[in-house]
Amino acid sequence: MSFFGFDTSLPGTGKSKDENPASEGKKPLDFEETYRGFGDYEEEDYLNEETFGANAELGTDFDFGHGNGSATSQGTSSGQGSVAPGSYITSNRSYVAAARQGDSQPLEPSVDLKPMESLWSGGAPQLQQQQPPPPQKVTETLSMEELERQQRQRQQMAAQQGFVVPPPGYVGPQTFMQQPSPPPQANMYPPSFAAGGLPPQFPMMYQQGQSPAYPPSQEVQQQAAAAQAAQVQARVQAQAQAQAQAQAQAQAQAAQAQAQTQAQAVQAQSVQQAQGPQFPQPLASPGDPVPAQIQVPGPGAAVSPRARFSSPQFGPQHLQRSRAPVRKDPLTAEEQKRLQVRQAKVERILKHSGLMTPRDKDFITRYQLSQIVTEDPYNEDFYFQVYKIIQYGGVLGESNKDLIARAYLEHSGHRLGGRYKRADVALQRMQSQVEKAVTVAKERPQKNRDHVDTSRDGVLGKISSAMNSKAPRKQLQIPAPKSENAESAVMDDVSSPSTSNASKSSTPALDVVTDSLENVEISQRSRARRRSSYAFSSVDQSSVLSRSGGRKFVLSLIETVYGVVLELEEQLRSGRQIDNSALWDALHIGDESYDVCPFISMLSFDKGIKIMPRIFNFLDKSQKLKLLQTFFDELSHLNIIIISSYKTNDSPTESQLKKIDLFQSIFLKIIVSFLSNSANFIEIMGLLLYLIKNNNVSFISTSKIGLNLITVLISRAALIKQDINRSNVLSSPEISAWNGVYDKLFTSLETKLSMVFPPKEYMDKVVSSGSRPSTAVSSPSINSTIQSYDQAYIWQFLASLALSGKLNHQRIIIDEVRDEIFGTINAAEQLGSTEQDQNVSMYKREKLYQDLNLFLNVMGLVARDKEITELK
Amino acid sequence: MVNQCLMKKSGSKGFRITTSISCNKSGSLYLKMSLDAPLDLLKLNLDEKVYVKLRGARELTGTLQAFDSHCNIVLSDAVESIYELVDGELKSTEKSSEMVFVRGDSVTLITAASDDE
Amino acid sequence: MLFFSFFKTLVDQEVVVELKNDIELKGTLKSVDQFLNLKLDNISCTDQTKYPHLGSVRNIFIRGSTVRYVYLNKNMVDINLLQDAARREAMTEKK
Repeated sequence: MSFFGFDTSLPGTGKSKDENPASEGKKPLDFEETYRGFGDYEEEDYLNEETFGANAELGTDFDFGHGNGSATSQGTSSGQGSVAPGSYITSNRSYVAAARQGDSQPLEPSVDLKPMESLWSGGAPQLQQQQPPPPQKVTETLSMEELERQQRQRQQMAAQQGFVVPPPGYVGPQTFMQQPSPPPQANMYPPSFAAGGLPPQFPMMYQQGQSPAYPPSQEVQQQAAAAQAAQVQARVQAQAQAQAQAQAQAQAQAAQAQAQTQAQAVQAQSVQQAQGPQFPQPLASPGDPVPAQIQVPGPGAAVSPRARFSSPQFGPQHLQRSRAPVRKDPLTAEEQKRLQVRQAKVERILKHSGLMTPRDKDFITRYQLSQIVTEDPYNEDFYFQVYKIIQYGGVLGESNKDLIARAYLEHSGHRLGGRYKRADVALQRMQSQVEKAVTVAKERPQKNRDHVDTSRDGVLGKISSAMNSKAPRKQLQIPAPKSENAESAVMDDVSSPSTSNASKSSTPALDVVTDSLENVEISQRSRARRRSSYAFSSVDQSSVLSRSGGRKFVLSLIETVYGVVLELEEQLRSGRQIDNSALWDALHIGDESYDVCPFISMLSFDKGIKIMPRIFNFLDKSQKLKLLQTFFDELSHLNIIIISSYKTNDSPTESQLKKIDLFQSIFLKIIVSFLSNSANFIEIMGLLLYLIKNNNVSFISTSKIGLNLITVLISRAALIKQDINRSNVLSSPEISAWNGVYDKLFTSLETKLSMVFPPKEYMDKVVSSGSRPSTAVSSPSINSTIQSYDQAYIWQFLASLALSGKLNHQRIIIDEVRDEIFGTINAAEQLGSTEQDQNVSMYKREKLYQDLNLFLNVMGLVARDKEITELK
Repeated sequence: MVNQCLMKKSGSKGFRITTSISCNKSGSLYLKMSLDAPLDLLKLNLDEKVYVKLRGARELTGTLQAFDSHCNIVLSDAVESIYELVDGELKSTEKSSEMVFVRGDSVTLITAASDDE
Repeated sequence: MLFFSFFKTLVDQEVVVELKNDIELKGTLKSVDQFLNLKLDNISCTDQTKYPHLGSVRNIFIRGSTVRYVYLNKNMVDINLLQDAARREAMTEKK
């Protein structure tokens, strides 16, 4: 990878060993042909400058492994003695500098592409040539034993060259790192690596650095041969001598082949340096300019310096000896041929043998493992780890994983059998809540029909309670709409429930509700708000956002919340104590410095809605309650209300419908589950109060979301009331408080109840702009071709409203929406005549009746086949 | 050498990203919120519609799903516009994709999408 | 490491890679490294004009820096998780 400045086409590196004598005539690789022509593609690689430095002119013969190359070649001509120290000093130069100099003295690329040919191909013709007493040229006919011996030597040398875990006194890494002074962790490299705490490129460099380190093993042989001549001398002396020898060799060769000399001298020189400290890399550290110092091995390395040194010596010596009998006893032509074939085979097998020592392999394995196994995989490999758990693991035994994945599992709906089924769960729950309440209510009229029967008469016309052949049904006689004076007079009586309740309330919790009710009522700000709620109900969300700090501010708040939640989830995972005060602060609930509470504005963004379930995980009950209070308090400013109301947004776009869907499936679900799991009657009443007091309820009821929210509250309250009614737990102050709240709600909706039905144009637009109608409440089985506006949520609302109301309330409701009731019946009856598909129209018809009957059942009525009859 | 390298590294990073975001409309807000890194502005727009300008007269609009310090990004519901001069006339082609990874070295600018419905 | 982690989850999935020289390749992602170099198997063309001279190539190594786009399917990505991963990445980089 050029990323590390490693040019694989270098002489003396990997490439050359692949070429065997047979391909001697092959043209060397031409840089122009192989790489330079594609330079254009590289220009956008902005890391190149970082890697190589800005203005470095890189030569084509960039000498990666032997940075002191040019210095050595100078030394070749100037003399032996001065070479060694000089080369050590210059070895501090950067590669870039080396490359620059190398540019001025380009090595002839055609020469010496195969410096290790002898080593890798088994035959050793070049090696023989280079030895001071030039021995006879041997043919490649080596016996099997010889081959094996050679192979053993090679492996031994490789093992030394590839010495992987450096001794404690290791000072070499800066040569890899190209750093003039190694940072502390460079020395810590092996242990810290084992712990997996390393930057990933660290080991990569190491691996890269190793490959140039291997080829020089041939020069080790040279060196060893040279050292052999000076056998018994002390090691330091031997080193000096070896250098001298190497230089002599190089010079001798220079007479024969000028260009070859330079390259080999460079390599020979570098190997001498490498041998001392036993590092694969030739460069010395700046702190150790004197070769003798480098040669002093670290404490760990002191174990067997002799052994290491002697091994290469032994090699060539032995080689020569064993070769002698072969020459004495020449082989026949046939034998030679056979041996050659054999040798070729062995060569093929052994070609890559010993390339990596077990330690190398171990090193790489550990590196690879470190990529997979880190101390904290969730931190460094978060997406992958959690994704895998979600996709395949489900929830594994490990509780940590369980915890971290839970947020996403719930969120993506995997627990519900796939992310596509998650929608509408909240609505289904709401619907079942309403249905349950209706079912309970249905039983009541049966019991005390006598009271009910007469009063219902005349509202929907005369209803026959006893149907048989003798008493045929009468035609509906629809009376003229009654004036509501009588009812409104009743309303006036209880229009100030706070005062009446405050005196009656007996429990402290109730006091809280009524007190807060009073406070809100008095608040000047809230009145202004209520007045202005229409003024700001523009679809343009920026107008709302600007009143709570602006879009960017709200976005930054959301991101802060995300950051805090992520941190809390991390704490939960690691089992630490959880402190949610930071989260509470980040939510800005109760922040009065803006016109609109920033928390409300957070819900204007999809991601603000999506984070809510995870926020709720960390809040205690009182915090949740406060959050919902704020929410209902400022409902009119909620962007989603404005978007989902036909009054303010008469042609919703697809993305807006998606937003409505998202809100329903996430935030509505939270509210439903909070209300049904933890909220008591008084708290629900309190929330409803907040909604009524500070918002324009009739406007909110024109929006789908708003209507849903009201439905959720009153249907839950009705359920509790029914349950409690049976066991007589609900105290009379509570009931009267509820009646007060309900009357308040009813007053604000009265005369506007028919407005909860959107106009036909709006419904048509919603149907056409959403390919999957967002209004579908629970229709997983419907054929997708059916697209009509689903009014189920409206009937649910009316049913809940009627449930909690007294008879006169119910009468008003029926009175106001009478047109819609008959409209729905008509629509259902017309379906059969217009629709082609019988099944589809049957289904649609059933659906319409079903929705309508949910409401009618509350009053003990049922609509069927154009008729409204008494429920049996 | 290394110091130089490091300086270059941070320098180039800063430069790249600053150019990417300096075109954002609300420079004053930037100061107001005292964001300490330009990439924070990218973070704000996670899960929001963004407009991305690329090398080679290309633009992308889509919902930002992920980014890193190299400005590698993932967009969902992305629409790409490629502008070409054909016989002296500006021609634009559009291509949409539901999810796309964009390599950071082609990115020249990222900002919040202008038409926020 | 965010996108390294991201691409690891896409291994064995079919992706479409568009290179900076307009070559477009469809194939199964076999491996990825931290430079986002990619290895694709069973490559085929999506558009003949964007697929020169590769008719007989079955698998391919792509240097990360030559990639312009990688097109994915929506169901391959968990967007909520991905957004959080991006947030975490931004948070750790700040520290």
